[in-house]
Amino acid sequence: MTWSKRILWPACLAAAWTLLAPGMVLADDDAGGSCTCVEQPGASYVVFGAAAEDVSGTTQANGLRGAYPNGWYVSSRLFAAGGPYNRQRYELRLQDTGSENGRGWGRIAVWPLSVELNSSRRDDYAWDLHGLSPELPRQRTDYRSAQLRWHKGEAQNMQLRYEGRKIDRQGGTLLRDLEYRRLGYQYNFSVGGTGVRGQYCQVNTEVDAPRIGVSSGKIDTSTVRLEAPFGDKLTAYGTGSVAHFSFDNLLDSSMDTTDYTTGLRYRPSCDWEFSADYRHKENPSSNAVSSHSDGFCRLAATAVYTPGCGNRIEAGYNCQKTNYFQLHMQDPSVRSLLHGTAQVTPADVAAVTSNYLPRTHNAWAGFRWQLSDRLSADGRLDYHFGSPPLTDLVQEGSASPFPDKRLDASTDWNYEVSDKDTLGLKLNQQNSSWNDRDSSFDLLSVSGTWTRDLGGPGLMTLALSNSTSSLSAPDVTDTYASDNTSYVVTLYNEHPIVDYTLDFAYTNSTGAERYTQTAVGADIGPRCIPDLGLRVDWFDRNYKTITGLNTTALEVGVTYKLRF
Amino acid sequence: MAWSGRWLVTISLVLVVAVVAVWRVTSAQLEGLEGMEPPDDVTGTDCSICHGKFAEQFKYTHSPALNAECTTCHLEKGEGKHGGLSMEGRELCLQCHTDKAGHYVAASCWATGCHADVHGSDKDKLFISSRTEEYPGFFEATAGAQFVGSDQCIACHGDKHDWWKASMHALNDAEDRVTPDMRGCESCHGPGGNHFGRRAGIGDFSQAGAEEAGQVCLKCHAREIFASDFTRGTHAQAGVTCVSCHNPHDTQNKHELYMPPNQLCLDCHTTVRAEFARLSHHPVDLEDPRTGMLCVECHDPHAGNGRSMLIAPPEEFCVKCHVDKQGPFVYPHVGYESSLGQGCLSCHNQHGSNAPNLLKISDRGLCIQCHTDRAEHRGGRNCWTSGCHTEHHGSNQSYLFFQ
Repeated sequence: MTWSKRILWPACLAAAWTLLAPGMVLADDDAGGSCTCVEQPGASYVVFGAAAEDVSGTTQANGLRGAYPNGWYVSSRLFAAGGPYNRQRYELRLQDTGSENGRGWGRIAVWPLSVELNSSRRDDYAWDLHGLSPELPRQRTDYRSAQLRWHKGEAQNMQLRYEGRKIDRQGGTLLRDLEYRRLGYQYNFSVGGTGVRGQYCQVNTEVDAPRIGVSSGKIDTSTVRLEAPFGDKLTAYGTGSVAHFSFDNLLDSSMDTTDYTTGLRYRPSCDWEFSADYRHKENPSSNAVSSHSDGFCRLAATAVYTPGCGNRIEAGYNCQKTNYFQLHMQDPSVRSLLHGTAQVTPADVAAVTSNYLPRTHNAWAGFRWQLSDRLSADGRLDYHFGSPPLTDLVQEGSASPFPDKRLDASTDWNYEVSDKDTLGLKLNQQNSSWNDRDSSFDLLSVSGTWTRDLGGPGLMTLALSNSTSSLSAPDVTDTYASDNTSYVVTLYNEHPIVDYTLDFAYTNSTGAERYTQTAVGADIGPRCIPDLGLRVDWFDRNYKTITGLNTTALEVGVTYKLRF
Repeated sequence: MAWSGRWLVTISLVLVVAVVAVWRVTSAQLEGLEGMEPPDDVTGTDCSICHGKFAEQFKYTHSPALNAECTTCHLEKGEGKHGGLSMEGRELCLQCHTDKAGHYVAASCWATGCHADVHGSDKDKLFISSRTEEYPGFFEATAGAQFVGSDQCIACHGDKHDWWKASMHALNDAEDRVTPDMRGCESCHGPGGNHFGRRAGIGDFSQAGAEEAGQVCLKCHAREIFASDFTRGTHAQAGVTCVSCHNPHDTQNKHELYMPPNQLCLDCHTTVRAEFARLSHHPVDLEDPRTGMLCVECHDPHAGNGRSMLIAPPEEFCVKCHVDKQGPFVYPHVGYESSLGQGCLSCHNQHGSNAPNLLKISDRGLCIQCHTDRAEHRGGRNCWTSGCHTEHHGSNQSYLFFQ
């Protein structure tokens, strides 16, 4: 099916519904009775748009403004809402380009049914890091979805959803195709008179991954969630999930996993809440040969104090016991097995596998507090410790890659300097340490924002972010450090002549991928023609050490909204 | 004492008789005066002879009444019925208050019950209650009030209703909603009986806290928002209410949102907005969210888990799209298992990163954060671009994640 047909079918269906739906009134209608309408809102409209782009060099996936097709493209959008007391809405959006990029999207809502169709194709470049020097092979991503939702009286509702994604990557040495199709069903329900609420989900996924080392097959997952109140203060909840794997190219092709959580929540007053839950999960591991986890059980408890005014203090603790199987990789028999040509099975290495139950603990505390009328802060501290599982992947008796202790800290501060200005500061820090190796690794990320209210809807934001990392280890002279900084400005303001939005982002990376990137964009809406919109984008990426990846792109677009 | 009792009864009887007599006489006089024309020697400015001086009666007096310009609103003597108005409805007021033309009322400014006493009031703007009246609370405002029906609301708030009737919430006017507390405007705002002329006499969502607003919305949406209790969520704790994001009168955006979904989230979360401007980021498109991801694909704004309001632990929803990373593998990378490490977030920044592929660190430092003993073991630029450990998410072929 060609791309044009892909976008045609949702388009035609949505258009047919728009034209043929009974009782559809697009124009103004009086509310009836004694109401004299001031002005009927112009909810129905059509937007026409076109854009031209000029690209030099190559482009990358996830560019700021999407894929750059390097040519003209057109887009249009229809939005139509029904008249008085009509719970009907019709939306349709199309975009097509000359280089097989584009999307079609449509939604029809006729109470109590809602149907949504989505189809897109994107042809751009992906990062291929699997080589001595990175390259940008072309990739094409096709995505389509259809969703039907039924909503009866708010008491019960359900959703049926299909989605599929196909990624074709061309030219990369190790990037190969991937495709999946998924059919999902979700049903929310309540048991009348008891207050019990529930949700049932069934998701069937079909994966086709021809890459070496990755399996293709089916994954069917069923999940049930229940919540039952016992009076005003006590609630019991639980979630149970069963997944069935049937993979094509494994010795044991049929595997199951179970995962369930059950807990109690107690709210003795509006200020306090206590909860405790227990989770048990079993992973499918009948094919696993190396060190692996077969499952775990976790007991957790949390206390939350909310005295009001947005203030909150919470703390919790959980203890986890993992069912861990360690393969003694340094055993000569294992090494010869793993380095041989024959396929190794779990039975082959069972004799040199140890099973034990390492315990790990996590204690955490968090808060959010309005320190004054203008200053608010929130933060969270996570401390992980215990006896993590060992591996001897590298050498006999080598310590685990899991640290003995890890501290994760994050905090976010907001200060209203005045009624117009707000400052924000966000920090994330991670410290990991290995006692037996006397080494540690630190990661710090800091970002600050300044937001200024320009009056009315006008808003300006300046953001600066920086992240660094460092290793401290004995006998290691070539330690690692990186430094990345980005500057972002967004501005929206109203002017007597035009309304405008400006975006600016500059990134400077001094890590291994040394580059600078600049992106500037502007939306302009003239007041004299309020339905006219203009958009200009300029994008530049410049590598300091790698040649052939530099990109410059310019895009100019125009839209016009026709109301009816 | 006995005599005092008799005197009390006698005095009470006399007083009752006197009050009744005065009332009967006054009523008769008023009935006789109705429709009567004033004497010929009384001019248009002499209304105060009979009607008294308004300036002495009220704290705030309507300027025509204050200046004895009664014919501004009333008919001139001899033009019609005595005391009749020169115009009907709101047009009478708009002849002076031209700037209030857009202040919509269907009937008249006083018939709505707002500016009920047009001659004067002890309240500002001739309201029957003060605009600055302290708001008693969302539910307290409507305590004891009667349901009046949406038609009464439309009389003043017709513009809101025009939007609302095209929204999904127009369901509330469906015929099967027979009870007044579940129908029309009052299904959300509460009974309107206290609201006539009193700004504070109705459920006002701009004054409501998260818990109050949540109670109203969850009256219908409790089953839909399964994640138990909205008021327990981070949003609610931070003062974000249902109407902070949803406009139940609107019809333009899906789910009655104030603006397209991603824009709505990033309008407050400006730091995250900046993260999406980095080199690699998830394809969240602010212009048209349907072209890429939605914030709500990972976060549940109503009541997700923990501080980031995630819909599930990251390792569970990341693999919904990245299905080839899900496993199970013959040779799993145990560090990715959430039960032992940090899952996907061990290596990736979820929103955006200056390093390719959303990596926390761009080079071999990524691996060193766990494999500190391998800091000097590198065969190429880093552990995977060297061409060695390329299948680091897990492999069915190589225990060292070779290709």
